[in-house]
Amino acid sequence: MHKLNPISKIIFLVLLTILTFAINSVIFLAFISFLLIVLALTSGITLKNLVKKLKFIVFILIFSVVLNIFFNAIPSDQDVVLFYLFNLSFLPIRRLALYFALRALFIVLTLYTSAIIFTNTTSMKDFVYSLIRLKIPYTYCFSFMVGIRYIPLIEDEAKTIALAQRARGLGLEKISSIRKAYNLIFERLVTTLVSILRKTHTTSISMESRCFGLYKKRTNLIKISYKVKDIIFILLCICGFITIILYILKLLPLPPIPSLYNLFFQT
Amino acid sequence: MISISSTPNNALCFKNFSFIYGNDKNLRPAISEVNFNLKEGEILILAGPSGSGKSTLSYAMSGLIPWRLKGFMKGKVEIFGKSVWDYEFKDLCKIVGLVKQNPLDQMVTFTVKDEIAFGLENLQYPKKEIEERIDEISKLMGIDHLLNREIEQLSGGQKQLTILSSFLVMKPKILILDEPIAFLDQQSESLLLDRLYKLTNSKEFKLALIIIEHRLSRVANISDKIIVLNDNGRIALKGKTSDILSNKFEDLKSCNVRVPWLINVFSNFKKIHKNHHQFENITNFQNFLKFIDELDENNLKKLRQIIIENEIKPTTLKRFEEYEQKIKFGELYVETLKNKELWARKTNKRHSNAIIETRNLEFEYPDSKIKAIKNLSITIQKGDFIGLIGPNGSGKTTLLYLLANLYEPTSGEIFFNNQNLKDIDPYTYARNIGFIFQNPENMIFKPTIKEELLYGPINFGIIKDVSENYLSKLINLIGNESLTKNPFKLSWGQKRRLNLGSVFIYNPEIILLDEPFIGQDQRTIDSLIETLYVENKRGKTIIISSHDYHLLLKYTKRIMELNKDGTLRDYDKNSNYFKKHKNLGPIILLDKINDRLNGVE
Repeated sequence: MHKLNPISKIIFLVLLTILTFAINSVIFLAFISFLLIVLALTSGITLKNLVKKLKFIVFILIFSVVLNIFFNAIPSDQDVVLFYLFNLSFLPIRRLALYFALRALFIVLTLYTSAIIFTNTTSMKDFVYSLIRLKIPYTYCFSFMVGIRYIPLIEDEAKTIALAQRARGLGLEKISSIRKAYNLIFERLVTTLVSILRKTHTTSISMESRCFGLYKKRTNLIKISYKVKDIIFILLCICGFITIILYILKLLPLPPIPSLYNLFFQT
Repeated sequence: MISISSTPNNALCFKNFSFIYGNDKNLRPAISEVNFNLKEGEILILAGPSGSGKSTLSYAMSGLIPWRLKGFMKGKVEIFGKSVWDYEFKDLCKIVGLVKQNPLDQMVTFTVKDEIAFGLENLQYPKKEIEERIDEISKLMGIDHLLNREIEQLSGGQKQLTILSSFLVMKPKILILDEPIAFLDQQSESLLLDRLYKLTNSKEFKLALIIIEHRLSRVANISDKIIVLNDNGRIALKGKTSDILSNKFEDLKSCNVRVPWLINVFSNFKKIHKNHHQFENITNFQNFLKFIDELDENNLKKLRQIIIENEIKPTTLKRFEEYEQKIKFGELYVETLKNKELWARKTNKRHSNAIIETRNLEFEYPDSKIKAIKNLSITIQKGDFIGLIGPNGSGKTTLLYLLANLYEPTSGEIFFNNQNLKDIDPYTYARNIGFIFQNPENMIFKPTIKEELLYGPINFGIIKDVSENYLSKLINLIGNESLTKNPFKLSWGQKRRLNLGSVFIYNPEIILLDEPFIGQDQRTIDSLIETLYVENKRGKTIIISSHDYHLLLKYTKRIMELNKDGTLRDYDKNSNYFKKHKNLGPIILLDKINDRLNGVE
């Protein structure tokens, strides 16, 4: 993945996103998630790193599954109760609710893993220059680039400001009231914002002094080029995408994927 | 391209120039009646206190005024003999470059090469020419080995050289540098000044260079002209550098700028002689050494005393009393707090005089395998005044954060009054530490000056001890401003003094300052360091990190030098530091005088 053009990867991401929402089969989605994890590991992302990054969404996933199971469960004739959680009659696990929960889980997992692969295998510099290659006006692309350049600056500034609050006695212990929390965050935000505004003023003066935006076009020393492997990759992605869409539309003479319900509950 | 008109030598010419910003409701001129001219190949130093209009003048020189920043303009600005109104802004961009103070805030790309190419790409130069120019300028500035380096991996000096190259590559005819050495350590500063000097002597560039800097001691020797602005945005002093340093030196000293120390010593020496006209003016170090050879024993002793008083140890603080806005914290401490803390301080005295002690202190940033602080064991005595020096990235700020308990050490221990920091309540410890951050705005959190001053006392739960009377005294420190004024609207120097006030209000025992002088004018720097000097005499323990080793050597009791590998060299007394660093000018002079005196004896 490292050696591919960022545009190839963007095409891959777009097609994958469409597919994840088009596929109904939970087993198929799980299979795609598994393939993506394998792809991530073969793209130089270590298992430790991947687990560390996935940790961030574990809470969201659990929350989403619980919400879907208990609040997406509208009793109807078509929906059957599979079992009762802990054998408690007020905690029914319904078929459709479980299906929605698992589908949402794998969609989030697929999208998040693909985003990890993209950000870990693409330099932001290549990405921005790819956007310019896609004929997006360079003033917008550079706004994006400056935004990315600012992230570590803002992070550093926010950290220093937080330390300045601590030094004068705020945030030394766990915040005990909503008001204190509000003060802590609001003050930090305002001070950080003032600092960012000053920085943006300097940046804009510096960019203007170096003739930024004077002409509609500019020379780009860096040109992100397409290689044969990019074209092969894009063609493979498009073929795979069309095949899966045709399969979903039942236009291919292939057997359907069994549902989880059929596998586990209708024996 | 710009065709240079009939007076090709005159790069800049200002005639009765005044400017009021369009958003200034009070219609106060930021710059008034400015007249000067600058020729190609000349270097001009522009100095003055904060708020005197240096930046405004630099915007007018670069064409941002009137083309980008709107307001009311009076008088004439000519660039290469042509009125600024006769240019289009895009033409001005090509001939004038404006480099601001902080290089990191100006960078927009990810690598050195991309950054240097940025301007030429915008001007649609062909790729081949861009490559050639990058090659040429990077070699000239000595950064050709860094071209593919990520911006984040550069040192402070390398970043400054990169942003400078990104302007020079466009081959401007006029280059304006706004405090280019403010963020640099001694080594990077020498490197930059050396490159600038080479550049202005280069036949190809023939630059008219404007350096905004109040520390004339650093840049005067490479300049041709000096302009000093006053608080009202008017020219207080202007002329050829050689003339000002020789004949108007006393005027220059009264302008609140850092004067070259060598000339200051010589000027003071001349003052004590009735027949001072017998001495020729000396502005050069080598000539000064020759001058020492000619002096008799009596004069040698007098000169030695002057050097010690002016450059080594401040024996008096007469000048401190002369400042317009006097800072006398001694009168301002809250009496009730003083009494409350008396007991605590007395109990501490039972043990030893060590106020802070570190044992095998180490610190490693998360996800970094490099130790920012390595096996550091130091003892800081009560009443110490320590100057912390070291190159960029040597861990000075990290050490201060560790001492202030803002960072937790990776290993090792810190003791405060012989008690392990881990066993001390964080509020109690924070109350004993006053921390001044590099950027004054980073420690302003409240919408009014009053709330800002009371921020610490409220958080520490001692608000009842602060009386209204005390607050009104503190406000004098900031400069007779209304307590309800928004702190962000104060001048840069006032913000720094507000920081001091907001820390002094809870009477901490130790004051830590991280690069407090950056971006401050000479008046604020002088009042700040001398206030700290007085406070130290009154018993406060002070640690101050700065690149301004000249100031630190003069005022502090002890110098600690951090090295790039996170280790530390501790010099018990300034004299020891001087012994190790014989390349420092005043020490060379003192050695020479002592050698001569020994010879005479």
